[in-house]
Amino acid sequence: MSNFSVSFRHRGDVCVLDLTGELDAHTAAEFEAALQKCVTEGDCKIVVQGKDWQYISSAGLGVFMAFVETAREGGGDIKIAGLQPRVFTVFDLLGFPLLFDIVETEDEAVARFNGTSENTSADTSEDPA
Amino acid sequence: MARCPHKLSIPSRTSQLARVRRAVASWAAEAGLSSEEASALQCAVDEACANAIEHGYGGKPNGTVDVEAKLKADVLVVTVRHHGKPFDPKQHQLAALTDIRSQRRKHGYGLHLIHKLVDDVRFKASGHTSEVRLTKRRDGTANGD
Repeated sequence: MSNFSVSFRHRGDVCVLDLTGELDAHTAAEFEAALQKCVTEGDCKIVVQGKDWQYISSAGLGVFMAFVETAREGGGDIKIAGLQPRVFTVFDLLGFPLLFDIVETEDEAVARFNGTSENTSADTSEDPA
Repeated sequence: MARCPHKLSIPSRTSQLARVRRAVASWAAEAGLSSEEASALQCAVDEACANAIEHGYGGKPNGTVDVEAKLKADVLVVTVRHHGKPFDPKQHQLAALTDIRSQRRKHGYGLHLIHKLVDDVRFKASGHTSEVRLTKRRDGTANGD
């Protein structure tokens, strides 16, 4: 019954995770595995793209929390882009914007990693999830 | 919504949470909640059911979680019941959200979320049954009334 999926792309040295569907206590393991794959492979600059991401529960928030320090210690971060209002509300209610860089667009998130405000339309090669 | 309750019983599996959310969305729409109110209630019920499955039944799939919705005047009340390990809120001090965040903890956000999403939260344990009752007020504008 799960309608959640994660796919991977790279834009230069930034790994973009496209989340689709509903992230809850059932699907959180899939997201956890995706973030684990990133950090294991040394991809610590991570953008979570949320334009097709429809739902998050506390289990999903816990996964973000479990990996953010690892990503930062590895010289990167987990930045979050393009959230739908319903998903942003959950982050906001718990004060997560204090801990995470949450921006409007994927381009803005990638640019923040690159220390530039320009649109970075670099390599968009896709990897299978 | 008719004043007789809507009911749904699910096996204690997290794969059933999406089914609960769909049902709550339907009940909330029928009760005249706005989409924002419905989303908040959906998430709160999801959290309560996830707690029942993971803590009440310890993840074992052979339990049952009962969800019931009743419309009372301008509020929709959803009750989540399970028959696993009783939950006594007096035994579970809610850790400060700032502490949980600063410690980068993976768990402990669900109850905070429930309290922020609905207007009233009541816990009750009796014998082998534990329940949490979630009340969401409708603002009366969803159907233009």
